[in-house]
Amino acid sequence: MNKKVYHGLSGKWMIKILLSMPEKGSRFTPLQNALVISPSRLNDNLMKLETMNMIKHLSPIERRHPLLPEYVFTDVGHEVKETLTSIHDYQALFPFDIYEKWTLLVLLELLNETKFNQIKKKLKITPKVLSQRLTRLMALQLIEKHVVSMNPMEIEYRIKDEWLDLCHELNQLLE
Amino acid sequence: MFKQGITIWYNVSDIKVSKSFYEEKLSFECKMFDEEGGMVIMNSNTDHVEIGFSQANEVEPSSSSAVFTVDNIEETVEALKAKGVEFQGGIDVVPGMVKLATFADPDGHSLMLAEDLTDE
Repeated sequence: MNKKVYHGLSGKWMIKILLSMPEKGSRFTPLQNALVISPSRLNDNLMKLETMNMIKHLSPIERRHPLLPEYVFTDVGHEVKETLTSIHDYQALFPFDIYEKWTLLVLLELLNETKFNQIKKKLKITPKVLSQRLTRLMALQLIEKHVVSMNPMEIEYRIKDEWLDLCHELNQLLE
Repeated sequence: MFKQGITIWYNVSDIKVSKSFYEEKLSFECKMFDEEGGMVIMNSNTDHVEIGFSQANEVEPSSSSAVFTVDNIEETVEALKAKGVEFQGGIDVVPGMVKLATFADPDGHSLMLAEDLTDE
């Protein structure tokens, strides 16, 4: 799984669904009850996951028995789930939801770029969202803002030393 | 090799509706009700023959029928109609063999009653 796929999956539900689904697949109802999600929202997200080739929906005939899974992982889905399971171990170590759109990717991009416009260009992110995420990461004490020069005004964003190792580890998983 | 026991399994859209149908209309007893897992097993009119159903997102009505044997098909049809069961067509007779009546569960899975005529 790469960062583009991770970005496509991030948000409130898709990653949670993939992490909650057992390796052999799942029926709709137990998955819905485990996630405490409305049927329509689960259905929408399952369709998106199928479009992304992460899972396959089996017809009643393909399933062969009503107790067997309605949704199974594709080969791609299996690999993605494996990576997500590794990434999930890092959630407890970070003070923000690592599956929230953009936040983790902005943080990890600071391993490569330090300037606002460079990050914006690399990630193809809107200035407003980038600004919000940087502000949040600063408030959470993960990154710092450095004024490199006053005239012209030049600002760099850097990951704080104590978070660098973790960021490098996570970055490796997503490359 | 085999031991006693048959379970007929269905996909259903709502296990509570299906459970209610079998309990209230057919007077079958519930053997297992797993609400979290969306599964139910009902005892039937026959020992070791059970009816199972699990809640599914996609349900295709089955045209293969579970056929329940009754003593008097006319009386049973009237009793079930009084409970709100709708039958498809009338009572079909295969002379010297069987009388049949067809109805369905809430998801359209075909069910039938049969009265054996072979002793006559």
